[in-house]
Amino acid sequence: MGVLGQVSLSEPLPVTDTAANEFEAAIRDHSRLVYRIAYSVLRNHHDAEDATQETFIRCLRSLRRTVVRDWRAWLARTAWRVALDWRPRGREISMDDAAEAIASMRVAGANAEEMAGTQQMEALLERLIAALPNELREPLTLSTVEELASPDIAQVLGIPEGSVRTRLMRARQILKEKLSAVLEGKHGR
Amino acid sequence: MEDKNHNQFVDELLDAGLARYSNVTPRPGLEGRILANARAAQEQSPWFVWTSWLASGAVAAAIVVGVLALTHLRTPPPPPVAAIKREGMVTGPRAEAGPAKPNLARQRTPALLAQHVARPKTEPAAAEPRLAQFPSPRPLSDQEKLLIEYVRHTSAGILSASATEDTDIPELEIKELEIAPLDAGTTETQPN
Repeated sequence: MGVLGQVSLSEPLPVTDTAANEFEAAIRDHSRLVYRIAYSVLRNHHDAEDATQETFIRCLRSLRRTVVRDWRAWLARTAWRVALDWRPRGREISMDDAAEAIASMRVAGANAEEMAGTQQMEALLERLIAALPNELREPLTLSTVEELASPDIAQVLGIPEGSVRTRLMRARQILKEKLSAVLEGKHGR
Repeated sequence: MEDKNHNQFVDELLDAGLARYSNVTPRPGLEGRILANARAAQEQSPWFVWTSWLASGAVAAAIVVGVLALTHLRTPPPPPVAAIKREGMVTGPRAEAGPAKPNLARQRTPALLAQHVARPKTEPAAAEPRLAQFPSPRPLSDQEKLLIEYVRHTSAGILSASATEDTDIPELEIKELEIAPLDAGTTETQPN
């Protein structure tokens, strides 16, 4: 019987003691990271939790045949793949309403922090990121997860760390140009 | 100056927006739910695997039995062609022409019948085995059977007599042509 934070495990896991302990520790240490990675892609709390569950179940199934050395990297990579599999495709990119709301807030004199906390800004950013090409969108999406730095992103995506930094700069530049256009009221569809 | 302020504002807005983009907190109790689900999945897994294997085996066995039963039910009886052909070829007048042919057909018939059974029902060629003999022997027609009966029950003398009678062809009598001589006066043409 183990203890996981405030959760008491009344029944032991049907794996070896060592694996069960490692698994419990992984849940305790990395479940929030997994959840945030899933949320960064799925943009929905319910789906993010389902993807988190799926990630840990895959982890448990592979415990018998895989020796996991770096749980954090392994879980981050698995969560990323699960989230990409579950991502809804063909979502319509329309940011007219959000862009108008942001532009009007800017005219009204709101500061950056106030504007960033609004649902309109979140929706606008979501649509701007979704419009990026894949090679730029993926590192940028992962970079929004607080716990992931460039080396972690490189490990998840399987690309060099330098490429991650270059792509992040290009992605930010594109986002900045589009956001600037929105604030000036020059945005298009 | 305005451009610089605008750029700075955009930078700040982008940084703040990206910082909040995935900075979410899961509902309380996520760890416990993960663990409960993992335990349920792990306990369910062996049962599911065994059940799926058993179900697959049962379905495969049912398919095999069904196919065998269908094949057995659809096997056609041996075609009557072979039996009739043997009788006709042994006793009929055709047997005299080639005594080896019935033997050949008799030897090949079981193998061909086996081939016929093994082939699927849908193939039309499988309905009639192809023999090495051309033309393929067919059952005797009613007229041929009547002829054989006639030959059996008729004595040789009558047969030879009828044969000779049939061959007597009366000579043709051709009458001599009678052509009247032409009249010289009527044939001459008169000048105009």
